[in-house]
Amino acid sequence: MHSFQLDNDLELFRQDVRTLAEKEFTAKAAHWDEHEIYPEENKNLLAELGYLGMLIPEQYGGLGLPIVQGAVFLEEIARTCFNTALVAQLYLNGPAKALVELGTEEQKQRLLPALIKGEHLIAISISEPGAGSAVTDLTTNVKKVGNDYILNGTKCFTTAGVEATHALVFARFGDSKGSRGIGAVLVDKGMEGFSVGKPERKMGGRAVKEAELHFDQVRIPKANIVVEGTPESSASFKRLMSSFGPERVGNAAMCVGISQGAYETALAYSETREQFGRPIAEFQGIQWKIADMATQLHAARLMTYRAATHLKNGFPDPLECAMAKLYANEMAQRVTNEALQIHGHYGYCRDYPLERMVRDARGFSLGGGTPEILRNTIAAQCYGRSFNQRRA
Amino acid sequence: MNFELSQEQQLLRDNVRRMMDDIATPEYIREHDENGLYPYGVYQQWVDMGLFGLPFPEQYGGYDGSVLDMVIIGEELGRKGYDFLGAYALTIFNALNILRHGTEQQKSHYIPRVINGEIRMSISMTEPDAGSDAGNMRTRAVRDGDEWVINGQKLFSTAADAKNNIIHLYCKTDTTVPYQQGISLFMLPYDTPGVEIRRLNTLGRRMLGTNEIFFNDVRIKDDMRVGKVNEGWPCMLSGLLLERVVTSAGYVGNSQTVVDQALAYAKERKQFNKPIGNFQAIAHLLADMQTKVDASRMLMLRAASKMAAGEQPLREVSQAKLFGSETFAEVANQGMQIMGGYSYMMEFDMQRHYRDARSTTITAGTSQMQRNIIANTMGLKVK
Repeated sequence: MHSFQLDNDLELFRQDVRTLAEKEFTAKAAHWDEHEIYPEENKNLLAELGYLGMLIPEQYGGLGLPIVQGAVFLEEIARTCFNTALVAQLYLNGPAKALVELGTEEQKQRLLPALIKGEHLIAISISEPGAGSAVTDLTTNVKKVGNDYILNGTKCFTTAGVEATHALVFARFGDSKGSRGIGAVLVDKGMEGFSVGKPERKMGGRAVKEAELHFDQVRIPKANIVVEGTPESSASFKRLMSSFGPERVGNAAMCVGISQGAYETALAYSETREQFGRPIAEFQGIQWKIADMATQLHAARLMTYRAATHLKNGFPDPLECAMAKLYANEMAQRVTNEALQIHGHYGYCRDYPLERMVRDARGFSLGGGTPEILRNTIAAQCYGRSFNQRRA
Repeated sequence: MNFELSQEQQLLRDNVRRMMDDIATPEYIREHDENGLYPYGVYQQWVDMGLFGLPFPEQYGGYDGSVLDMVIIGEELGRKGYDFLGAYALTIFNALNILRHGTEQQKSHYIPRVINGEIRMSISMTEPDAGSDAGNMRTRAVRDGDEWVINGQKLFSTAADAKNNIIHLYCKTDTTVPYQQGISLFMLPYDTPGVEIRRLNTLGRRMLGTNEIFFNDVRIKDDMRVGKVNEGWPCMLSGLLLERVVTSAGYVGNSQTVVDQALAYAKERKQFNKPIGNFQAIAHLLADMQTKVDASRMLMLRAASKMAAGEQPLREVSQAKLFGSETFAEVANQGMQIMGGYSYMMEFDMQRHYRDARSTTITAGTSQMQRNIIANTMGLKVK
């Protein structure tokens, strides 16, 4: 039986990251949000300190640390500055991790060292206007012409689409339907026919905008095919999706971090704020809110670490990733909202971080696999069979 | 029990709805929310329609309307966004205090000017250390001949900086008596020398804006005092039930819009080759949302009809406020979930409903205070 404790050195690591985040990121956390500015200087600092490559294997210049350490890292950064964590997540998990797991040796040699230095950024581009939760309805298409491939289509909600130097684009190879034929290609910024639309302004995570990507007859060299799709098989799509387990762990970890920040702020506030002649912490209605927040945070944290450490063939168990993200996403909404409520109208004002935390936390449940889609995944595991969502 | 509106009430509702549809277009609302602009144009329409005369007696140019008329308007204005109801209600509630407690001269001077739109009104009560515990206020007015000199600071004062606004300011006029005693009510034009208004940056309700106000040796004539000296607290309490029930009507209106918009989206948005509303989980969610909004409406109408019958239904009003605000926040959150990633984008309305809704469990008496009130009426001594 595990002790359910993180190793001592991981706790020390957490302390280091917390100290760093409080010293470097707290002061400007509201600034990035308010002015919707990408936190470039924070990214550069994290690159300088080697954190951007922490999960990338040593042979490519990274530190080769385990997924759980990445989770602790993201948790601590999100506790103070969610927008910085959101950027870090793109380097630690998601597209970077997919490239490590699925890319060719040449692609890794070519891209990862510059990624670790923060010079490159790979965005992940999956959603389309008509294919959100129904991801296998995507229509962006790749056709083989001679030795090259021609990419056509439009993607939406590509996080950091403007800042990215590359995009990992999910696309349909040839004439295929559903999950069959879906693969992924790397598009370099500057390739002819590739353009980035006006970024969308959003409610939270405002420093890292979502953009539309347009591909008009973009010629992709074979060297940029990460996973080739074949119209007869859905194996490529499944491989791609399985590499996104760590991203869900990272997402859940950020939920825990942001909620921890909100919880601590509310706890401290309730001890200092006096109404009716006593600190509001003396009221049972407030005490129980704090108790519920702490309990939910604890549960989400345990689920996150469990998913991060319970690996099968090097990957986190998809079921545990889905459960951790689902629970943490909804927990983050509840905990940040309760923290705001404890602050009363102060919590509604931007002089305090609560309203920002509520806005930021709300986005977790709207992307990266919504709780609705995760429930489908979990139910399929519970029943031991998947249900046809297209049934009339 | 009769839940039907009379013909006149239906006509009132339809007229207000048509007027709001015409002027408060999605573009208008988005622009005003985004840039923190007070909705002067919509306000003027209400003036032109005579809506500000509704609760006042004929002798001051009003129409002697009932509480039920007020909640009908409240729901209709709230449909376009809770802040619209806020703009209307702030002027009405404070002007009603003049009707209840003012001198004849104050009534005949101010009420007709409220009705013709010359002036608008806001309230200022909360202070940094006096929130739910409003009686703990420290802003002070000291008598000097036929004037009062005001010093102090107020917080979270909605729409205080709107043009031609008169702030209804509650402050301490006797510091030797504890708490809710020794408070008086003054009318203070927003541009009086010594008054400094600073807009706070808030999550939502950005049209009207929330302000911090500083009073530095502000001098005001005694004829701007409403009600007796040191009897401001009962003044404030006297309008509270009406304020909360009309506010609850605004919650119902905005909640209904949330459901309408989420429903329209669920019927139109296709994933997996069918409208997402055909998925049972989404359909059930929408069924719950509409049921809760209807329950909010029923609680609100019950409180309003008791008031129309001359009762003071403290418990029922707090229940309507508590359930209405919690429901509004809940359905706005669920509305976002139904609309997925689009709801998070500033160009869609659902994120604004969510941001606006989040204030309603805090303002006009927090949910925690409503629970205290309800429990007290149940014979519990809540500490």
